[in-house]
Amino acid sequence: MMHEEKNIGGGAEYPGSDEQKISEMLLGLERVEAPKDFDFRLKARLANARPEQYRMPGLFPILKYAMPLALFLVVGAGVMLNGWYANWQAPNVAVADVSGEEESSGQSAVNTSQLLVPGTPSPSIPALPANRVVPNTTGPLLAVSGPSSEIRENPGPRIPVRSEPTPSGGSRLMGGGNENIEIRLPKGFEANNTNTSLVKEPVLPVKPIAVIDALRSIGIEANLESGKWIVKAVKEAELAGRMGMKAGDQIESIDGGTIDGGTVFNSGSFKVKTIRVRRSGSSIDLEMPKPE
Amino acid sequence: MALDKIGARTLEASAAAMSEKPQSDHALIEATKNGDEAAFASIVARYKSPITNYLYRFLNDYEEAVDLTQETFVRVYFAIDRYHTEYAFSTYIYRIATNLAISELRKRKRRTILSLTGLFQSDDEEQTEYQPPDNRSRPDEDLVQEERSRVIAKAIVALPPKYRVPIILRDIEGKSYDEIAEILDLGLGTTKSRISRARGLLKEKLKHYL
Repeated sequence: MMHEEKNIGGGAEYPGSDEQKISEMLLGLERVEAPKDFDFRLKARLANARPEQYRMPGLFPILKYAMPLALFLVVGAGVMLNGWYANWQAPNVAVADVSGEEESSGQSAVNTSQLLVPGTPSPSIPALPANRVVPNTTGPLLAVSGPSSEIRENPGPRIPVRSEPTPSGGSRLMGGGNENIEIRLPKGFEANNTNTSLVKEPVLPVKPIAVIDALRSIGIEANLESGKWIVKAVKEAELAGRMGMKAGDQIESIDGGTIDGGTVFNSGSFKVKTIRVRRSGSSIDLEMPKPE
Repeated sequence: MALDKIGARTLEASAAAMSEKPQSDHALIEATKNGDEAAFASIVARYKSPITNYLYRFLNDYEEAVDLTQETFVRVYFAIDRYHTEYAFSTYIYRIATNLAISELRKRKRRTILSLTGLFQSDDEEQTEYQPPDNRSRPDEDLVQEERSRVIAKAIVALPPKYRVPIILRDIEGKSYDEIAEILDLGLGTTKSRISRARGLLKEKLKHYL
């Protein structure tokens, strides 16, 4: 047989060595032959075989694993992009680099008339990525928050800022060194008060709280009926129960502010001292119980 | 089944007829693709014993070796259209046989893990060994030789598959390094290295016979 002839000399790379002896040992092993009924059994096997078992599997086995993986990757990428986009779109922080050049051109980097209006968004402030701070080694940074519009002072090194009235009714802030900026103040703010509350730190966005969530947080389940919040259930063990809230009460105001279907709380947390409810035709103020 | 069309001509008869006029493997494959069942019978006749011997030395189980040899030919038959002549047919069929044998080893391993009786058996007991029936008279020297062959066969089977396959192909089947590299889809250097390593391992196991 052809293969038996090829066996002669197989593995004789190192004559006389142990490797050569091993090769000869293996070569000396008795060769087994196929059984006599091999052809008959093979024929029967071919007759009983199903050809589709031996066909190429096609793309299905690959897709079976690839599709869920691709779906997972797409969803994951979507979630990540959504989070990134929402973060990028948050119009809560704007940072102005105050420099002498801006003053010389007569324009400030930030229209500061939007800066000091509490509780209102700042539509004219360009949307910048949150916490994006332009460092200025010589002057202070101004940061403006959106919904809360708080202006705070940077806890870092304090740079003296002074203000002086301007003919346009605002005030000119003079930073240490060569920077100054003109800020137009809204009504109710005195020009000479602005030197105490300059912001140098970006403020994180505040998530508004809906009335229903706020009420739930103190143990009240309420429904909005015809623009009025009607208490449906009160958890006695929670704050509302201890305040004396009862099912059927109509909530008129919270801490003096009337609430309706469109009310949201922008403070970032819901704090309550007094809730005025209408019960049996009369208004009752329910006070927050004092801590024991 | 198309093979039934052979009619009165058995596979053996077909092989005998083809042996009168030897044809290359590729020619037989082409003839099989064109529906010549006798050509396939010739291929079977040409390779059934080498493949059986190869698988027997790999698995040390004659019945399993015969079964896998038949499975090899079934796969060759049904995948004959996908065979390309860029490789030698012997490389192709040995590769199929090797893959089947390795799959069989994996199945055995899983069965060993799942088998409760495996907890109470040693590895030696678990390896079933089947010697093909031989009714010849046995002089003493034959018995000694048989024992020696049995020890060598056990030593081969104890090798890890990645060393077992190349050394069987090289030292028992007499394949060239290039053929073995193609069958195993390995580089030539890796193939030589594995064969050398396999011989080193066998030397440790068979040092009493050296």
